[in-house]
Amino acid sequence: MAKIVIAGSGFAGHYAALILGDKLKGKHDITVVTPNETFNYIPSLIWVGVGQWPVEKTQFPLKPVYDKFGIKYLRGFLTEVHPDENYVIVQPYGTQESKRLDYDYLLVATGPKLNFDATPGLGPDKGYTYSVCTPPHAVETAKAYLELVKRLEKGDKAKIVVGTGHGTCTCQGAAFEYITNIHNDLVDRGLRDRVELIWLSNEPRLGDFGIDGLEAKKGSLIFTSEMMAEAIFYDYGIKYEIRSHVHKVDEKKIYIENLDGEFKEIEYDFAMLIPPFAGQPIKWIDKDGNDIKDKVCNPAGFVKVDAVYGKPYEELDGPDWPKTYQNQTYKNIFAAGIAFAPPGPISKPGKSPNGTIIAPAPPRTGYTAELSGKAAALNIIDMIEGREPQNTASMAETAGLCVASMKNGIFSGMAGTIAIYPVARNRAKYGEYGRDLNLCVAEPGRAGAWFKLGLHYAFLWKLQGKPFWKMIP
Amino acid sequence: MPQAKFRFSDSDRKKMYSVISQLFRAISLAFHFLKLVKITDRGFKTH
Repeated sequence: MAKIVIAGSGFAGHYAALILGDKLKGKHDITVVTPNETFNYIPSLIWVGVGQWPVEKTQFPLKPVYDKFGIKYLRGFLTEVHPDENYVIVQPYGTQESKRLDYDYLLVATGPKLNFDATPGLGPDKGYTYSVCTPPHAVETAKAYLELVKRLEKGDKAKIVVGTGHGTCTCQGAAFEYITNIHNDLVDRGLRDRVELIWLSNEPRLGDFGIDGLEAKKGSLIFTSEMMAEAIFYDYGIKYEIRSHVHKVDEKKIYIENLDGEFKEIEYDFAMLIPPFAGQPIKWIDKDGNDIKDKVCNPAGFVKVDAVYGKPYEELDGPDWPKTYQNQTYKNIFAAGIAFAPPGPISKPGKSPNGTIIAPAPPRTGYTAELSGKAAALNIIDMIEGREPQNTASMAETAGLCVASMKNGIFSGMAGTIAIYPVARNRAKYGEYGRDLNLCVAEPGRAGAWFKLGLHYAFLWKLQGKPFWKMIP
Repeated sequence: MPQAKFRFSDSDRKKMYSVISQLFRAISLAFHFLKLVKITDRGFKTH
């Protein structure tokens, strides 16, 4: 009987657990280690952060699902991995204790550490800005936003800044959703004319979203995500500062530097800025007690897998992206979702004349995270059954499906539907653009709002393992 | 601060907000999504 430990219960870890539970139930020992009591459907936190949805609507308890699939659930933090001796140390939630857990196969899918400390003054805990990256953050953001709304109703005016809080952030799409939902919420409340909305981001151009933007064929024309974002910002009266790194935030101002080396200060009354991500603070220790984190992880703390690392951006191409998500030093360790180390950025990285790095990191959330989790889970089964890992989900060979909500609602909703194939440009296979433009889509409309709602309910259904869950992609 | 350059036409906006037009787009996009999922699933070889 093989022992499988999955660290993390987000899109990658939870989906991998369901696949393994479904295929190996009763035959092998599967344990999920996670500090969370609930699965959190992060894409819908946007509506929580605007005060339109209760957070409970985006969650379900994990334990009943794991019980159904014969999976052990250990609520706690993964603190150490001992890959030579095949065990991990877990700190059970709410204690200072340590618990040893042996494994034959380990899947690291812990998601990111939200690295607010990278920018002084960033974040709701030690700083002045808000975030929608976790359920508690989204609830706190909604509270602050609704307090601002009350002041606006009394006749105040305000400046709202939304975007990224560091030059190396990813998940610009979530911030885009937040600013457009804020716009539409303020329009519905009759308060939009009292607010100046500003988009602040590290993207080299509008609509980049950390994926180097996208181009889609529309008849004989090529429509880009840059054109879509520009047109939406024009219609919504949103001003923007892009190509920017945030140096610090204080009570009244955000201090930025752009790729031209210009330093600027933006005054604000309310700001929602996505933090940069880092790997979780996990110790990697060899049999002699030495710290081997440098060997297993990249400098940001993400776990290295079967990618080609170290190439400059200009040389990086499709074949360099990981396929099986297997660590190459320790073959029984896999990493998926945000926890795996990408070989480099998808967006063009930049540096200001002052040496400040402004380089969006590649997003690997949602559907992409799920695919990597699925590949890792199936490859663990391959190894248990005596085969080499054969299942692949390279970001340079898989689609990205993303619906960016701009307003929730069946009859009045609006969203940008984005389909991209493949996510990471693969010029070796698709030539000039590195993507199949006939398969890419970028279009705003009511249809997107229906998709966004549909995906919410479909994913929650699937991830609870309800009847026919396997039929939902 | 720079301002956006590309603009939607009135016809674009009409299509985006029209329920009938969007119903057809939703059906078309749903099939397109399924096609992409099928292509993506080619990587899963042994299960």
